[in-house]
Amino acid sequence: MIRLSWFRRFFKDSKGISTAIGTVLLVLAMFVISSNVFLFTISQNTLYSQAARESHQTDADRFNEKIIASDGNYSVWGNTVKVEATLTNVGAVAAQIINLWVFDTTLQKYGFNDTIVSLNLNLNPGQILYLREAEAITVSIPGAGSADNFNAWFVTARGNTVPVEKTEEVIISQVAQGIGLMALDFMTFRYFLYNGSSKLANYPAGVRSYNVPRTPEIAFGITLTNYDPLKRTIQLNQYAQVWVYFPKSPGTQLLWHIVNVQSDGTITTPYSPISLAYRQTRLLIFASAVPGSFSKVSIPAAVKNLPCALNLLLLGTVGSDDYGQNIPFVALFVYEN
Amino acid sequence: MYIGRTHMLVRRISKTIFNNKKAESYVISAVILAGVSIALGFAVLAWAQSRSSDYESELSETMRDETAKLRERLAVEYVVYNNVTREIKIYLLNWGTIDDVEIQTIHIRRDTWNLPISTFTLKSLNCTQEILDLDVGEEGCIVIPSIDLVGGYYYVRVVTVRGAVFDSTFVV
Repeated sequence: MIRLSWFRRFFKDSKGISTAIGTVLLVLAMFVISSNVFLFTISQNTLYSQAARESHQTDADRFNEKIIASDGNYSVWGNTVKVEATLTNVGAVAAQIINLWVFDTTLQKYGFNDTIVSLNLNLNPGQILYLREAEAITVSIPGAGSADNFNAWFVTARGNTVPVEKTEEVIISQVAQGIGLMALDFMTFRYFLYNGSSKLANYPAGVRSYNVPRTPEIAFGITLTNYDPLKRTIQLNQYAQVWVYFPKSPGTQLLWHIVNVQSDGTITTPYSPISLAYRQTRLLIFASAVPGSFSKVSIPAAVKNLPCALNLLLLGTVGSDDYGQNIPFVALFVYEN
Repeated sequence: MYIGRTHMLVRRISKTIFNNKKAESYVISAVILAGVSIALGFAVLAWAQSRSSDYESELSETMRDETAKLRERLAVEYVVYNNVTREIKIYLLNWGTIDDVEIQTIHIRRDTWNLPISTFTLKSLNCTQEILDLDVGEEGCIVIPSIDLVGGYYYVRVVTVRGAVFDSTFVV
């Protein structure tokens, strides 16, 4: 009853109703506009905060990226500097190597190789990448020489630079002075079977073992590095050879002479001298029974299931001087298939 | 019957209104007042809407610029000064997450000496082809010609068009 009378009174005396409606509309309009502005500001702030968070994460990833480039080794061939190194990811995030810079401190020249992006040099945390031999990275520096001193650094995709730490120079020089200028890498010793009359099977990987079959014929692959303290280039002539003798079978001596091999494993003749610049590491193939040419080496049945000693006889020139070195140490066991 | 009644009602009302001059002026003034109020209300609403829209677009633009600036990252791979050609080469990498990073100014600084430079060219990494900006993952080379530096330790500051700043050092 009371409500009904209030309602009637309201409609009978409508003075001020327009003010009320106007105020309500104005307040509503202001509320809508200010809410819009407020919500928009909030959304923009959210976007900015998101970008700031991403930015901080990017920086954190960069700080957590830690790559070590050790066992650095430089060798020069023409205008090309070959850099060997071992990359270890000791950080907490995966990393990608995109560039290698080399600075020739002797010449005061520099070069880089940014095509290594295509090599996909990616390292997960804890992963180790060996950039040796065929995997070594080359950088062109016109006029660079094997006796020059180099500095190198890798660049990661996050913009970090990783200096290449060189192998301990003093120890190597002392070893080179003591036993000769060339060093043999035991871990990469391998033998090859043939895939045809003059083509090595599975080249350059071969078979990494110190147990070798008597038949069929085999060839040897040995990785050598030039550590001449005077930083000269060593050139090997056709008399460089692998010499094998059997203590249990005196008088049986077998020779495998050095040969030239194409990238597909094909042996080419006649032999042309192979050079190793200072600190250059190279896989050399010993396959021929005769020097300077090629014929397969057969192992006689008399030495089956016998151990033997392998010596590496290296002959040629170092710089303008004569060079000769005998590297022993490898032992083999010849088994019968 | 019904139409006749309605017709009579309309005639009576119009007679009352048009015969009563006082009532007529009330109605007209009420209509004018209401019209002005509504028009004014809409004008204020439109103005407020446009102000808020301007504010939103300004804020949006500022936020976009700031966000883009936040996403910019440049790393200096190598800086070299050639005292024969008297030029500095700065090798840069865009490792951020945004394309089109343009360089505005380079500052070369040593102790209190500071040289802002804006006359330089941004080129591809091998310093041959001129480029406008650096996209994500792209490397470039900035060549600063005709500059005389004495031996020492220098700071280099790269300022982008978006306002981000990146520092590095080099030795002459």
